[in-house]
Amino acid sequence: MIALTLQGLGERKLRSVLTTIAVLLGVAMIAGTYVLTDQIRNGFQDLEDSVYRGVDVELSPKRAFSSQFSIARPLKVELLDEVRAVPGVAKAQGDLWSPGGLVIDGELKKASGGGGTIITTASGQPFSPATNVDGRMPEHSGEVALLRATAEKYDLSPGDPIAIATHRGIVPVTVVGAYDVGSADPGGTDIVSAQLDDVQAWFDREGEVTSINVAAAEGVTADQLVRRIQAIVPERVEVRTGAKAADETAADINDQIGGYLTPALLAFAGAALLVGAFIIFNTFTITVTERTREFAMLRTLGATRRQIMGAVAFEALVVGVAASAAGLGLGLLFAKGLGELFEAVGLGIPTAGAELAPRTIALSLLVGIGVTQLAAVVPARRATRVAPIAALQRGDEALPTSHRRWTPWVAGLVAALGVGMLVAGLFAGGPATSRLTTMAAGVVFLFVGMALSARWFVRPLAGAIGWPLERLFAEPGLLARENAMRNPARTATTAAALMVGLGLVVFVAVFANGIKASFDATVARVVKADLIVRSETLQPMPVAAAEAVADTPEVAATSSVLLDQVKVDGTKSSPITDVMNGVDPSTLESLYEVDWVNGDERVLNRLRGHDVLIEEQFSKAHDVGVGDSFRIETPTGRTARLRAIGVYNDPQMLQGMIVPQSLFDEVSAARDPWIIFAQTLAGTPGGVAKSGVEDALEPFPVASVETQADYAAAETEVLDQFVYLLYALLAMSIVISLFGIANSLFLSIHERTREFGLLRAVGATRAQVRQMVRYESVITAVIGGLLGTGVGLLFAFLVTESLGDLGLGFEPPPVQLAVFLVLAVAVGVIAAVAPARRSARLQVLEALQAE
Amino acid sequence: MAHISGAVAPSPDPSRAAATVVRGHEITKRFGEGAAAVDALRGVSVDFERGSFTAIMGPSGSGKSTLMHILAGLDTPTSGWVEIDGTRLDQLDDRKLTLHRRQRVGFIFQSYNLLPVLNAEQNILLPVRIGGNEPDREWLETLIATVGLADRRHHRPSELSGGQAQRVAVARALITRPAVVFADEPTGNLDSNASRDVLALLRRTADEFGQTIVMVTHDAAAAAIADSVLFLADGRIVDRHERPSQDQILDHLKELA
Repeated sequence: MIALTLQGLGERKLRSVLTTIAVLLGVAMIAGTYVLTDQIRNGFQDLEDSVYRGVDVELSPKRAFSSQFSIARPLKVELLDEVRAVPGVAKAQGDLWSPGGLVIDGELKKASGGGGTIITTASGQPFSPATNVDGRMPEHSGEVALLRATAEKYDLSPGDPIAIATHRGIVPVTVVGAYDVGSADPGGTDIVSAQLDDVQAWFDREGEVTSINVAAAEGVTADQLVRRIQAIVPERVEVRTGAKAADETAADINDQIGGYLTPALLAFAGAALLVGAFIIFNTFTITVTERTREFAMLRTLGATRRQIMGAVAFEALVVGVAASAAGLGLGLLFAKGLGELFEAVGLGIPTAGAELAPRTIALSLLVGIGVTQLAAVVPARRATRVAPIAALQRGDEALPTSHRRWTPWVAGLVAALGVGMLVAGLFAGGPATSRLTTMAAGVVFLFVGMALSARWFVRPLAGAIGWPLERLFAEPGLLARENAMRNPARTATTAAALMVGLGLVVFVAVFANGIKASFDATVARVVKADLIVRSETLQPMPVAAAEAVADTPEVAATSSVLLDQVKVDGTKSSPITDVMNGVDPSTLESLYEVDWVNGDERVLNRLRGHDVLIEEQFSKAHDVGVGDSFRIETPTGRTARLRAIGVYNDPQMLQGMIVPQSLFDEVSAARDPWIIFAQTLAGTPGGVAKSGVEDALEPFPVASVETQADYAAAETEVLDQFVYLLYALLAMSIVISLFGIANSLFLSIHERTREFGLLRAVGATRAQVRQMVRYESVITAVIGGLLGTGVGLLFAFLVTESLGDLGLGFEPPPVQLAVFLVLAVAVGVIAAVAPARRSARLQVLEALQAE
Repeated sequence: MAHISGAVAPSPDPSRAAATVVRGHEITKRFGEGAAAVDALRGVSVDFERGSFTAIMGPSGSGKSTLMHILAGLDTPTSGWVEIDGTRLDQLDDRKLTLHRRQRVGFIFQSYNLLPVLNAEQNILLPVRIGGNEPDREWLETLIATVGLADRRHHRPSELSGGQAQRVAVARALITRPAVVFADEPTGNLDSNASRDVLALLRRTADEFGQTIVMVTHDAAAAAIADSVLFLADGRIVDRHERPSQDQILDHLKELA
């Protein structure tokens, strides 16, 4: 039986290969996800191990929690002397790092990594993590060394003059060398090292350091030293051994990345696997149908039902094992491509070399084999229902069909269950992870339900899509349409494979369009300022930039916004709602229109002390209204008790809270503005004012000046990049469905060989036969496209409804949707290339005599 | 029925009324190579005149099917050539051969070979539609009436009996008014009643429409309705009988075997 199965697989090579590809790509995504996240984990561990290699004990500012918007309050340099006085300290040294900018040939270079551009101090021995690979490390003021990857990226070598964008403007420096830190790929983050005095001066950090590194004297352990130092430093200083610091820093970063990256990537892999499962199901169903007589013959020869079932299941096992093994290999490539994709959109992450961990191998095999087995169960069961008598009958009609009275009910039930779970996940309460899981399961159920019920849509849809084809291309069009309708269940499953990928693409597009529209609307509603100045990088702007803007002759008024993340009443901090915007209420009034939910203009005058305005989402998230008090804590660990005096709506620009700057300065370490609103003098032409501010900001290339329109366009561009990243990940699902359509066509052509022979005999040209196959493929693909559009719109509608109070509207972009349907047509045409060629190559006589 | 043939039957050029429609010249066909080679046809020259109804008979392996396939242009001879309606097939490329077949040749197969997704009428019209031409409605009605399927025209093949399906196939073969219809064991899959109907239909086609028909069969009853019968054995034409009776045919076949 096993030999027979293997022989069968060998004879149906093309089909076996196409079926294998269907699973292979999904497995590759799973393997790739784990390979990449392992690379990231090892990369950070490697990086941190290198950074702390010579450090026995590290002192750093304690952070209550991590914030996306601020760095910790630095340590005073005086602490260094106190530490040096501790017995057992051989050597202690302060380090300082700050986000900054690299200016080459007068142009600010944006880093392609998520870390941006970092200016740090060149530590002396034994602390330095750097391995000097070219030139030397900086020894004098005005000298910098670059991370080797950074130097190579911009083609810089010792002696080259460059400049650093600092808080004090652009400072010219000279490159003196390049160095490595560990062996990991820094993933596009640019790193520049200079002397401590320089870094302090450049970033207004005189007398401050971000960490103190300590080397223990002979005979003193790091742990002993930690205890001794802890006894003399203030409580807000964290004292750890270097080893612990390395592990905790790496673990912290990995938690942040692993927390969202792994599940997000696995979700895309899941979509790809679902598509693969549809294809396996389809292929095995067709194969079993074709082999009815073979199974019946085996049954007459005494094979038991169990043996028949076993044969089909074994075939699926072989496919699963082959696909998983190949998928593992491809996963390495996939991880590499994914890493490059992240870097292309400016989110590069440090990585170590790729390796297949045992966990990756085990999971990939499990998933690949599991999915194939699961998808083959129904066809395998159907194979067992073949009666021995079928061996004596001609044709394929003898196979018991799965059309049962209850099938429509099951399909409807599964789809309804999917929608129900989706709605429950979106609107019900509960922790985010369980809601996301419910939603994901809902999506899968909805897709499966749609695939099951799609057979009832196939006839009307194929009729509608085929009608113009028949008008335009006469007989090939008619035959294509009729052939597409001929086995609705098969066409439905084939189309469903494309539906999944395209449905998710449509969802992303519609959802993103809703965000764009609401963003444009919000900006137009709340921003009164003519110009918006903000950082081009993921870091705030120097305070001096705000002064430069205010001093510009064309500018009448400015208002700066500082940002920090907070913890509210001890709950876990969200970077979206738990944000505090520090403003000067007197200057904000003329530049920002508060969109009041509860309150009016007069409330703004009372914005002082610990009285604050809260955004609608914040109000909902923490169940706080006007007059209510709540406690906040900033990353510095400082706390304050605040009272809400008004509620406003602004889901885009100033989320969370608007607080007076005096309060902000009291609790937060952040001093640099993220946004500067500017009003130009009445009568100044827009272009003149903008270039005036641009000139004033020349020393601060990190700050960019935008009109309202520029601002909205830039935000759209950022969103679009993210959307393209998602499209790239979803492309895999669409590619898999392309193979599925091709496979289905090959099988159909094989079944209908005689019909092709007849067509050629009565005068159909090869071109007409190709057309016929191509149109059938296009009809199937467009059915998938239409179903996908429908499901995608439904998802988007549900999700935007659930997020309605964020100002999100359900606004499908018609042009894009049309483009996706054209894409579906293209998928159909491409999938048909090889099958059409094969159908046209059939020899008339041989085809006519085929079984 | 004179009005039918007068109105819509092919109106051959009177000067070529007795001309040769299909000509096979010194046809040989060898399958395989070297020691395993089999000579299916060993030099067959044969002419079929316009309006003739010819049966080709012979024992299994005599080469009768191969001869028909080559005459119809579905297969190529190893040497020799075929001419249909004045056109040498060996001088046509695949596309021209296809178009020639579409316009000049009709086929009837043992297994009907109707397209299951098309109804009876659509199947009949297939060769016309494939050519992108508008069907001659009058001719279609005539054919449907002749094959007796007026009440079945919108049925799909799965809803037709074998005899009905084969009658659809006959109408399909005639719809383009081809120069010649090749019938390959047209009664092979039918019971005796249905066989009789189809054979009578072919006979009528020859009589009323003046249709040239070449039919391969191993059924003596079928061959007996033809105008003449060619006997093939070992890849050669060994005999030719004009209007033989069924018994004469059977006797002859026994001799050949």
